[in-house]
Amino acid sequence: MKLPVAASGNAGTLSHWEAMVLFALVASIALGMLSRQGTKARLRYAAGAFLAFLGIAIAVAWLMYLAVE
Amino acid sequence: MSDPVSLPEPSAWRLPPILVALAGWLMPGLGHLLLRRPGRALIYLLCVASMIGLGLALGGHVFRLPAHGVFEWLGVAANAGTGAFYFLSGMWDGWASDVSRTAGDYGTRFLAAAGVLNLLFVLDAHEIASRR
Repeated sequence: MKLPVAASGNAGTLSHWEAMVLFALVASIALGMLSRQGTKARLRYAAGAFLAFLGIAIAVAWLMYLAVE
Repeated sequence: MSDPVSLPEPSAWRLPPILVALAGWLMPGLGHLLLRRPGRALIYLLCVASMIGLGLALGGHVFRLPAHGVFEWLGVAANAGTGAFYFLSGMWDGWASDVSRTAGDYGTRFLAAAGVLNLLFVLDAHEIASRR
């Protein structure tokens, strides 16, 4: 998938969104593993953190877009 | 009938917490592996390795010594958190850093985050070893 705003690096092209999603995924898993005990609690925490990452990123992106407009 | 008695864990793996932390820093996940938590060790290794792989693939910059200024020192501290990966990345120049593009800047953040995550894993391993 290639979006209009792309981040071209050494290994092909990754959109800003894809880079952010991958970062959020790895960070959420790591934080879930560190901060909770038990598989279920970890999964719930990781899913919540992942959705929070994405939600906040989308909200901030809209704020920046509206500020520039 | 008496209650079942929980046996203490075998003492063969009771390593000093500082040694566990050092092992975890040198190779992400190794500290937890020494504490007989292979699942967590594997997940931590994959987290750090994927962050580093993405960071290098995006053309991120690895900060090296000698550092000039506070921000470079912070960069060195964050990057050095990945232990062996940090030292190995200096020997491998397959992918050059390119911070003139946004991707390279993202890559630099990925590499720094990998080091910081590994330092958190090291603290976790140290805490588990101290509790034993």
